[in-house]
Amino acid sequence: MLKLVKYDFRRDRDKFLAVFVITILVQFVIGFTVRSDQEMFMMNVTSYAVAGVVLLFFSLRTFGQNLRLFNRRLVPVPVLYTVLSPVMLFLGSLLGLFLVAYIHLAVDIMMFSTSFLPEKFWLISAYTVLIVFWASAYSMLLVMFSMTVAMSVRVKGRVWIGIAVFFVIQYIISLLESSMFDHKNITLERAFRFEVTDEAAKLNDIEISQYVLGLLPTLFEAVIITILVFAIVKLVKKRVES
Amino acid sequence: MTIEFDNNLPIYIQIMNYIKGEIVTGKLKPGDKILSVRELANELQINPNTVQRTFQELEREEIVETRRGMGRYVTSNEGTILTIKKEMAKDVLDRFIRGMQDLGFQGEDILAAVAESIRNKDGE
Amino acid sequence: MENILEIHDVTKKYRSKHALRGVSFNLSAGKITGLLGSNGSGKSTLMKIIAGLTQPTSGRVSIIGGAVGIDSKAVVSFMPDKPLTESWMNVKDALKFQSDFYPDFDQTKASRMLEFMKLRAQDKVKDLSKGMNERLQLTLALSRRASLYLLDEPIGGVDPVARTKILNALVEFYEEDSTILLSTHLVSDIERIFDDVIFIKEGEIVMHTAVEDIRMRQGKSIDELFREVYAEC
Repeated sequence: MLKLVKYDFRRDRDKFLAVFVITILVQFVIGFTVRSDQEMFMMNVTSYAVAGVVLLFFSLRTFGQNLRLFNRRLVPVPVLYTVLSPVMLFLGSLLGLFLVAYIHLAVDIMMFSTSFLPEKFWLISAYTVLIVFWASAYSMLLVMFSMTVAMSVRVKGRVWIGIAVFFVIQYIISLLESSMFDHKNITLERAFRFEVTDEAAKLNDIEISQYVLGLLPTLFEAVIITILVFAIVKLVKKRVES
Repeated sequence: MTIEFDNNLPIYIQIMNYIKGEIVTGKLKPGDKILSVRELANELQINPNTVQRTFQELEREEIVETRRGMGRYVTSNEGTILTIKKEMAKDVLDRFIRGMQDLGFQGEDILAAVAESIRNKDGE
Repeated sequence: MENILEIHDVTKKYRSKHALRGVSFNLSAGKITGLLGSNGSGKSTLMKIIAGLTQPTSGRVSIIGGAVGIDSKAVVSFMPDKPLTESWMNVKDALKFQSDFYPDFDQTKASRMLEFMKLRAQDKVKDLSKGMNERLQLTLALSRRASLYLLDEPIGGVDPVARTKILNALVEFYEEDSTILLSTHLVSDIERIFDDVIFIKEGEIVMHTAVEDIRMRQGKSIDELFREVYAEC
């Protein structure tokens, strides 16, 4: 499967590299223009988030191409690999993005000091990274599932059907999770909550124990992810149409 | 080597006739090695299987023989070659005579016409 | 001897339109078979089914005794009507792709073919002319030591010079025991390469015979027969 990922990457190699380069440049720009620490942190996080979304977009595009292009459809590999390789590509590139972010952080620390960082930052950020990975994989698979559904139907408005499927399933899963688990523990929601709120003020007071990944919700989400992958593979196999 | 192929007739027969022609006219001498299946197929741009069939037929008629590990050779048997020559001549003669008969010539007239034609040719 | 390819009563429907109807035939090893038909007769659809790109509505296909799937894809080399290369690739990348995923890829043969076709490793795929691209596609397909080669219109839409080159390459690089199914609607150029021909018309097999038999018994060329069979199309 790694070979598949290699070719997924090479197809858009320039685009992926561009994302990284631009992100780094943007960090420089932010560093030199924005004065307030809080604002800068927000902008940094936002720009990394945007980069992440762009990487997601390219990875999804690659998934679509893998299903369309003849040379990929003829390769004697299990459908599962074809489905998972864009996900691997995405997560791999996310990892790269996180590395850039950490290096950026290291540079900032060297230039200024650690005073602007809240306590237990490293531990919390490590958890954040894991949770973001988890949520990203989930989101990507959800979109991939919707794309596959849309591509399996030979009706005129199938793009809209795909979009509808995405929102509907997203909503259903949220409902299920809200009714089964306590909001604080839902792994997926925590990932996005970090992105949106300004933690700098809050993190100082919060106990680590609360940031341990809740077991049940995570298990539930793992099951969802497995079902999604299974469903995508099934649909792709059935769909095998020109 | 170029052969103008007629797609209306079996190609393997056309190749056979061509090779027989080469042998009879002496361009391929007794005992000469002939091209391999591959070489001939590439040269003529036809299916190697067709060439294979040609060779099989030529071997059956004992015009060509295979020497293990060495290739295919024209037979050294002068008698066989003479037979082919006569057979090919017979084909030409049959067609000629029929053609002349269609024009209304009969036996003696045909011989006379041939003799006259040859005299004219020698004179050229 | 086992048949390389067996097609049993294959039907393919798109909504109400039948692309293929009850198609059945077998291919034994070591022959070059022409799949002849006018445009839209179902040739491409049939090939795509054999290659595993699409599934029949009903019927069965077996390749060396097995069903179409990952195993069959590994031994079938398909050259479709659309290119097998991606626009970012150069010739070397295209070959590497084949060698990465197909164990039967023969690097030596590939190099020889590239030389024959006058293609260079660093040529970019998107800069190749149509004729050169066809040559590349053929190289990619024939560089594998596959049990079955499927070539969909390898000489269509290409100028006569490139056509001749491609036919040369086909003969030059043909392995004696390989089985080739080649579809085309341009018959006269290519008929001397076929051992057998299958005529397909409006999704049905009309004829499946040895080429020399037709020449011998009917005194016709395949091209002539083709025109007769498809006269009303």
